[in-house]
Formats: sequence, C-alpha cells, structure tokens
Amino acid sequence: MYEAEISRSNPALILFLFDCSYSMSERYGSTGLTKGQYLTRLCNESIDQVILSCEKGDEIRAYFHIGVLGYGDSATALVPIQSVVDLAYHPLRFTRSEIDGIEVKVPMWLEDPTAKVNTDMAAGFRLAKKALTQWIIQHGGSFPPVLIHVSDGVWTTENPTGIAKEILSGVCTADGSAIVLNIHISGKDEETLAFPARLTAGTEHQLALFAMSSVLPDPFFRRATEIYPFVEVGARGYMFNAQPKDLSKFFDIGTRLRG
Amino acid sequence: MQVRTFQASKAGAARHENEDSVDLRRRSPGELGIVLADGASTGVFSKGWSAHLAATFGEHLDCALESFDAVLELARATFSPDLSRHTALRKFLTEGSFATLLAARVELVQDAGRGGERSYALTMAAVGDACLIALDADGSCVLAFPCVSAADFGNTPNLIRSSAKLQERTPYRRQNARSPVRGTCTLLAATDAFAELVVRKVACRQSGELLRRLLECEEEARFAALVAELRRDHGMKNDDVSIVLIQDGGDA
Repeated sequence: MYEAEISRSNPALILFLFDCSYSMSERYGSTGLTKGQYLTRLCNESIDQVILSCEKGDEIRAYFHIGVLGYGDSATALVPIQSVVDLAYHPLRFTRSEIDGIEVKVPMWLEDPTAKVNTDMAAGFRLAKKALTQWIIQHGGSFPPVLIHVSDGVWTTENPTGIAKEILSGVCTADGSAIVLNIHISGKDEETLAFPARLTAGTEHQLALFAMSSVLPDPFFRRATEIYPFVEVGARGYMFNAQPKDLSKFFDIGTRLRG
Repeated sequence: MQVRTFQASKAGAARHENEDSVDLRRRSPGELGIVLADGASTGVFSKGWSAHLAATFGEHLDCALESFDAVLELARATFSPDLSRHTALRKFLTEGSFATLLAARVELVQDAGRGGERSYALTMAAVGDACLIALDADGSCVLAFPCVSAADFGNTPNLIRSSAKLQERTPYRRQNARSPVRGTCTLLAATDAFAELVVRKVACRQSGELLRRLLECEEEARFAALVAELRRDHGMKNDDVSIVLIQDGGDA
C-alpha cells in the first residue's frame, strides 16, 4: 500500500481544504499577515513547488492534479481540481520577482478567501469527499489522494467527524485509502502538538481533529521524522496550535510526494 | 574499427524523451572520438543540455581532453534553451540543467616492436558514471573507467551543471586517464544503467554471456529486446540506455 508510482498515466491528487471563516482574518504570529493571507501565500508557493518538481527535461509533466476547496458559510471550489500542466499555464495572475538580476514571473492561483462568518467544516469535508470520489473514478490505480485541511477554530455548525471518517475508510484507490492531514493553526504562542500517535486528553475539537486524521503512511512518516525526529510509529497526520514555521513544514510533508 | 551504437529509452517513456546523447566522430580510419552525456531528469532541459554538452565536447575533443574546463566554459556560454515558459526559466535560474559526461579518444595503433600486434590507445575524461569498459573475448574486464565496481554507481553521481555559479554548490569530481588496451578487446562505452550491469556481471564472472548477446545485436529492435530482458531478469535499472560498441575490424 502507498507504493504506486506517481506517473503521467497514474497521477496523484493533492486537495487543499481551507477554513475561510472570519477568524482567519486575525494576525498570524509575527508574520505581519493575517492567517488567511499567510495561508494563501503558502498555498501558492506549495502549488508552484509541485509544478516545478514536474518540470522535467523540456516540458512540464502531469504527475499531479491539485485543487483547493474552502468553507465558511458554505463550501466551494476556490481552485478547481486540474493537472499541474493546466495550472502552470493558467494561473490567476502573476507577480514579479528577481533571480540573479533577471526578472521572473511568479504565478498565483489563489487570493485570500477569508471573511466568511461561519465555520461550516462539515460542508467542507462533504465537498471534499465528493471531489475525491469523483477523481478516483478516473484514477483508481493511482497513489491515494491527499487531503490537507487547515483550520484555526471550532466548527460552528454540524460536527464533521463522521464525514471525515467516511473519507478515511471509504474513499480509496487500489493503493490505499485517501490520506487526510489536519492542521490547526494558532497565532498565539502556545505549545504545538505535532504528529502525535496517541491523544487521550484535549478539547472536543482537538480530539475530533485527531480522530479525523490518517495514520501517516510510510512515505509521509519518513519525511515527518526527518523534520520532527520525535515522531513515533503510528503517528497521525495532525498538528495542533501550529505556528507559521510548522504550517510550512506540514505542507512540505504533505505535498512532496515525488523524490 | 567497427562501431555500433544503440539507444533504448526508459520503460514508460517515449523515444524522444531519452535524455542520453551520443556524439561519435570518425577522425580518421584508425581514430574515433566518443562523447556520451546522460541528462539528469530531475533537472530542466536535460535532453538539450546533454545534447549540447556532447556536441561541444565532440567538436573540441582534443582540447577537452587537455583542458576540460575551457571547453565546459564554452558549452555553458553557448547553451541557449527556450526560456519562454515561466516555470522553466525559474527552475533553470535556480537549479540549472545537469548531466554526466564521458569523453574519449580511441586510436587504433600497430605496434611494430611486437610483431605488428594492434592495440587501442585510449585517452579519457569523465564526470559521473557513464563508462568506457574494455572486455576480452571471454567477457573478463581489462579496463573500466571511471567506475570499477557496482559500488561506484549511486543515485547521486557527479553532475556537470549548466551554470558555473550553481556548480559551486555541488562541485564535481573529474577523472582523467590514458591507457593502452589490446586490439582484441571489445570496447563498450555505456551510460550508467548498462555500465553498472556489465560491471556487476564481470564481478560474478557472467559477463561473457552478456558480451556474446550484445555482439549478436545488429539492429535497434534486438537491442531493445535485450534491454527489456536485462531489466526484467537481471536487475538492470530502468533508465535510458546508450551504448557504443567498438571492435577492431582490421581496417586500419
């Protein structure tokens, strides 16, 4: 399991699911940005890195499909699922940067989507389940899809645990079940809990997110231990009170699937 | 000299995606220039860089064997890939293109002092793990350069980058050698996957059969079938393969 080669004939899917509720417009640590702005920047950088990893020889190879979903008062596709080739050629817009004195165009696919009032996390997971299920119909032999969920708070409507567990147990390719990674971000200087194997105490929300997270399959576990040496066997793809630097590492662990 | 060249692409890749490049130049009836370059697929423009390296070193082979850095500087200065794609431009500026390289001059000489016995005079330079191997008729190894054992092949070979500045982060080790080899030997220049297999077969004294099968290859299709078999049954790495086979045809 979790050994399928990621290739053009069997691409992998990385699906982001973002909390777009009002609290995401609060400052995030010392970044000088709101949580939503920081998350947007990191998501754009992650998509860009995945595309660059597919730049082989003289072309971009469609090893990955990527999509971004968001939820607030309801759930919606912020960036529809598409191949890295389409993403590379059709960004939302470009910003300008410089490398060695040469001006380069840096693409963006996502604008800060925050400012919704509610936190309908269940609607987000429901939309994610639908998107993953539809994708798998076309890619049943691929490496299992990866769902990376980022939130800063507590759901304000239905408890999403049941839907997330349906994804964990029922959405799968021939190579294994979908991988659900949950990260709770916090702008406060609180202790970060990263990739625990057990969680016996905590708030309802904390325990639920833990239960909604996959046990890290081997490729993810190995990368997690490179960055967090204390991670134990059986660790889940879960982080609580993540600081900006942790969010960046979490995305790296969740998206660096080739090489 | 009788010279045969074969190429096979990585399984699952199209022929045009083969990132190996071979530059062969018959400089006289008894002298041949060989350059093999193996583009690393983790880089951008790997095929273009390997082709450009091979052509530049092939054109300036004598100079390259004496003054490698001067020819490399020329290759870097004249490499101009299509940078219109924004991803390609950024990857090229931050990582560059990279390839391994083997350059060799093969001269067939007649030794008047030893009853007219013919031999090859080899002059070689290499960065990375493309190899020149000399095999006796029974498959035993007379010379292997620059890798001599399976342990010398790895996942992180020395690579020549398209940018001198980027090369400073990952300096390469270049090896040079000169050697005479008996004219009865078969010379085999090969990129890493095939060279590694040959070296492994030599170590367990099974290279005679492999050499025999190789010499039976007259056309590309037969070589492709042999490569498929070697990948399937003999643990050869799934990678692009390029080889040049040289035998003394008695013509010079």
